Amino acid sequence: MLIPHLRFHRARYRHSPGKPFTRPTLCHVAPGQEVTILGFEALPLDYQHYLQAYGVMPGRTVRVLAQRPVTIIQVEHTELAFEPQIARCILVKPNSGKGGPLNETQTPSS
Amino acid sequence: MAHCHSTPMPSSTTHADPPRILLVGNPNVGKSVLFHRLTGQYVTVSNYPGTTVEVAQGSLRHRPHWLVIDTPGIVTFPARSEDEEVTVRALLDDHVGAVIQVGDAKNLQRTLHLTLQLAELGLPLVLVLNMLDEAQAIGVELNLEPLRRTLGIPVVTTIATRDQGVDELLHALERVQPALFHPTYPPEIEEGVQAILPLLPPATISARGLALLFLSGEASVATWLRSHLDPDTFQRLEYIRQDLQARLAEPVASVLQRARENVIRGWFNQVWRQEQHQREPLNVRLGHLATHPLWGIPILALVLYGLYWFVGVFGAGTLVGFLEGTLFGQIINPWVASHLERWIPWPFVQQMLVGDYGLWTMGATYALALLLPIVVTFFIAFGILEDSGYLPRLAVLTNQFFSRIGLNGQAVLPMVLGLGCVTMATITTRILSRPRERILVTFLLALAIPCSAQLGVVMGMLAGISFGATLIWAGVVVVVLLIVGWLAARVLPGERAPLIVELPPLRWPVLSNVLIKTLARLEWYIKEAVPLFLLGTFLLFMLDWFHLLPTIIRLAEPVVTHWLGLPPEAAAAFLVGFLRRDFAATNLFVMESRGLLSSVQVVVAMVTITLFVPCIASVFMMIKERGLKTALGMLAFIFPFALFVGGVLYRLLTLVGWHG
Repeated sequence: MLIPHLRFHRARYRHSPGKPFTRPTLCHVAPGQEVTILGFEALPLDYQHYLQAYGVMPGRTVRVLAQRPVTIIQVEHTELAFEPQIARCILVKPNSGKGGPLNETQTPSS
Repeated sequence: MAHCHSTPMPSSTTHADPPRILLVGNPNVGKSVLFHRLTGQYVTVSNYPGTTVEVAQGSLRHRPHWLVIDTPGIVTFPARSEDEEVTVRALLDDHVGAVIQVGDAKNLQRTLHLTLQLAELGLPLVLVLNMLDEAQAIGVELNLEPLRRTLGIPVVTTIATRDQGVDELLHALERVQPALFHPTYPPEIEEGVQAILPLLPPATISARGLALLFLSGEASVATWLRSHLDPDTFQRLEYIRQDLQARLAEPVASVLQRARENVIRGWFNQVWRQEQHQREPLNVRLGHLATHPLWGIPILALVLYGLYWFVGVFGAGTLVGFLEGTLFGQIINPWVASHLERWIPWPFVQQMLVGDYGLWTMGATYALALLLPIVVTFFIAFGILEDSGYLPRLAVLTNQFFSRIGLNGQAVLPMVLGLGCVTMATITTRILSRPRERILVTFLLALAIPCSAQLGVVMGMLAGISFGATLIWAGVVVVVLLIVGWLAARVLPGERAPLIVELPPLRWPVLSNVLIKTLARLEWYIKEAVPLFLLGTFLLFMLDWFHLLPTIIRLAEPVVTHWLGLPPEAAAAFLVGFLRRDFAATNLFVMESRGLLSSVQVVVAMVTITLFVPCIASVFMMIKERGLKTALGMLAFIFPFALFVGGVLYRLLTLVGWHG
């Protein structure tokens, strides 16, 4: 399979079973997967500026390291931790390669 | 996007003061270590983003007429917290001769974002890519020539912890100049800048840099402009900013950042090459385990046990036992007493120095023999935790707990530092991003966080009774912290700020850094605590000498004896508790060792004194940091509440027939 898919985080997926992810956010991404940032949705400006200063901005690739107890990502060689309520406001698209392609019907590993 | 090369024109300014070099950079990039290398002076150096709470300054090595200023780490402009605003003010207000931007070599893109922002300020600039060893360890190779050519400024690499590259930096300062490059922004923004330029007052930084900071919403710049312009002109600036914002689909700061990102993306591929490493280094894996919901808990337990063993068992047990029992009790104090009694014939002076409430036998002995070992061991342990990079991970682990009291995990730094010294921790609340959080943490620090000196005495007394006594004390304090924090979070207007924190790599603490920090904190503690101990002892001595103590004890009897169920003499301890609560705890400790307190009374007294305001110095700090009105409001709640909880606990323990 050449087209990459998001591997969804089990705990986050459980909160809305059966509903397709029309707009995947960082909150939905399984640990270990790399994604590209698409933009922010309903995130207060000071948080947007703060995240952008660390390189969390449209077009950049980040790797999700953990989703519990908070979302932890790696951007460049910096690790950033933030609460899911922030992760939910960061829109992403999947990258090819890292973590191997899995589709939404498969059981995601976390 | 087109970019132009031009020399920024700094606005005219006078340089009557010695030229200053500002060290500016993201948090946790080694600015304070580099400051030490450049000046030979020591400041608090730490691995937790944001612990440079005061701006340190010192003369540059070999060039004493240049002053180096170490500013708090800034993530980006606009500043987000009080300590970041300090950096903006330093750039605006100081007679800046040059800026040294310190960046993390392995986070080049983030570093360059700040470089472009600093370049726009038109100040002579040197870019230092520090921590080259960490970058090389992950296979990074840097080709800096394109960067030097494009920016037109010296770009040097350093490993500050090993003093590598510092000489090159000193040489680079000789050819420092403003950057030749600045990005061109979308037409709307360039028009906004052009409209603002004629209205700006002269400043150290370039007019273009000032205009861009103002347009991006930098609060400190707006305040500065308001104070340097007449109201009508400032109003015009505000109109221009609002008009610009109305014309853009997204915030000005975001547009600026995206334009800079486009520039940096173009540079990055020329400068950066990295070999792919398959296996994560051990410290990275350990760092991940430390924040893991399952494995993080045993690691935390191990850290806490280590802290307890080092501070509680070794500091409060072994060291205090030796210093108080052997050194002061058997050697120093008998020698001082016998000599002073021989040399000084006046009983008043004799008693003042070596009597029951003597400045030496009580004040100095308590401060140096009982409390100093505990404080020293705590500060060493805290320094190790800070330097290792564990504290931000603790913020992640404790975030859930703090969210229940309207805070986020970042409150853990001032809270843990408060276990060492609440006054110092009150300053550290500046790293919190919102005023609401700063007020809440200041309040909870004053109410329910015992400092290490007091904690050592409390633990020593309670351990002598039973483990249950320690549990009751800890349980009551934690419940009070949770309930009062929960209520305060609901009373205070505003919303809780969600956690967002950088996790620096786990590193082996550098012994010299830990010792430097411990010495600096110790100096602070001795300057603050010892005079208060002597003052408290002198107060007690005078009250005793003039037979006023019995009157005060009688006056306090309704509260101390009837409400708290303590012997009347405990009033003297509570009286000095207004100066320092660890001093009060020490007095109660002496009462207990004389058999004057029962188990119930010890627990009640310890809970009450823990909930008191820590010390008079912390009250002054609360006033300085939070304002007189807020500080008085906190005190008006804390004192009666501490007595209330103590009285309720006394009745509960008596009711259930607890005897230890």
